[in-house]
Amino acid sequence: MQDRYAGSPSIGRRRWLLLGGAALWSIALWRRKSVAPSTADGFLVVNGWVLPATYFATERA
Amino acid sequence: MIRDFQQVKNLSRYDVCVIGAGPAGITLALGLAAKGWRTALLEAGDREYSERSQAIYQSAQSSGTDIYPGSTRLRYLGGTSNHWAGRCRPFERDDFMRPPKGGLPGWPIAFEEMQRYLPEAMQILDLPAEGFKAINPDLLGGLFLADHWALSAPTRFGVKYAAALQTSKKLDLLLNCNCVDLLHHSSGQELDGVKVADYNGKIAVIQAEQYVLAMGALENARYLLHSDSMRAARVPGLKWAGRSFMEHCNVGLGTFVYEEGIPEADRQYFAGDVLAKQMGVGKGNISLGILQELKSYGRTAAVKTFLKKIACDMKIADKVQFVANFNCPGAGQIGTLLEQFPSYAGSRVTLLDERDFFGVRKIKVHWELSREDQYSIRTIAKEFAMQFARAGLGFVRLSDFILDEKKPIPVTPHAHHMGTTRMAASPDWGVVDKNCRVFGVNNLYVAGSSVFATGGGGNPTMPLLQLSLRLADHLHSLGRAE
Repeated sequence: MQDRYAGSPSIGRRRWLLLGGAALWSIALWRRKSVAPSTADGFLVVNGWVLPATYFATERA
Repeated sequence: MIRDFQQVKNLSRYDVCVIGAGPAGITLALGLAAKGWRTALLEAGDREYSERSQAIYQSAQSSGTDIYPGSTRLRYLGGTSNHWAGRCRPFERDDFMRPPKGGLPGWPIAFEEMQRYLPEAMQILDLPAEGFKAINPDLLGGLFLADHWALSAPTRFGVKYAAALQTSKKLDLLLNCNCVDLLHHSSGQELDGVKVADYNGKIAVIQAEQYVLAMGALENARYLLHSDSMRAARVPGLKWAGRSFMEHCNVGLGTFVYEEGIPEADRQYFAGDVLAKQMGVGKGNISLGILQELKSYGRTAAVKTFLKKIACDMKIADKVQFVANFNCPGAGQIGTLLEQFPSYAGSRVTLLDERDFFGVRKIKVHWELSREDQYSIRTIAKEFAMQFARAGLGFVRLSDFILDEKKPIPVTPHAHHMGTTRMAASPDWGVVDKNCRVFGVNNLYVAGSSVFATGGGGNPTMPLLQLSLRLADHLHSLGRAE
């Protein structure tokens, strides 16, 4: 019976390729410098307004 | 002495020939004449504005974002100082220590080399003795400082120095004297002369021991590129001529409202060294102002103002922002004067095949924002918006192109033309060496903001004067031929 995986990476190698690809992708995402303020900065963006994340939890809301 | 080139019969040989009678050229020429140098100062225009002279500038073209090369420069005695606003802010130590983003080297000289000429430059510009001041305190607890600057009268060089130019015995200011070519020696490494022409067909060659181009950042590059004899001599400095053009970026970052109790006054902040170092961004001014009246520009200004008035009167301006930008009187607006990074392949001055009245090839100025510039503008906007809120001053509404990176950033110029004959340690990275001498030509120098290796976060007139004073000292240190 012909080995359908002949010439292709082994299961183990493919797993490492996948893991390596995922790692590179994560690094690329991490390196991509997003400029929008986020909750990680402690801010929300609502209709363009840059507001502290606590803005709607205060009496102001 | 001031003479009209059209009336001059005989031209003598000079110690130095300075081409261009704007702030850099006048400062340099008067400085050298005071040191005893026989100085020729060439001005293409007359003592006053004329359509005939200005038409030469108007023949320049723009691509990318328009920098308005026909109207931002003035081609008569005093040059562009005839319409500058007078804002002055010095370079900082960090500008000379930190290479700009994008891979090019920064300044090849130390900060002190420029700083020692600051007092004299301030005196020339009639700045107040107390120096550079802020109109508001720092943005507390953050990366943005209060911007410190000073305002010149503004000094009009053609007016202020007319008497000095007239009475100087060592200086000939030749009006209506248009440089049409730089004549490079066929075998040596020197300039032989400058070919000049008036508006009636008179042509002459002016010769000197040393030559200085001081025609502004667009023309300095233009004449280096135009010179066939320099190209034939394979002058190493020409590789960079016209490249790394820089402006300061005026971007409407958004709008703002002050918190209750905060005085509704204009404020000016500065994105300084710490922010630049931490975030990899440029430096520069962020201005907060309250819109006093409706303003529209362009051919449809009247229609736009009418529509804005309706939207503001009906208090629906906020709801129709998707149609156009309807800012009403009382709205807080955020403008900028931000540093642009130099680049080899981006913004630049190139020659066109078409020629002007004098047979000099016309230019095209391409201006664009690099990826690093766009990141810089967006990051400064975001950090500023957060810091403004943290400081309890109010809230910022960022423009949509700040938050959406797919949208192009609408930018307008400040008429600060820089970098086209950049200063570098070697011809691999620039046109002039640390003494402003063109690489490969022993007696050709460049004065003005075209030699800036980086643009910094301030206006260029005062720093370019500092460099002109430094160049005068350098030339004098070489000694003149007796």
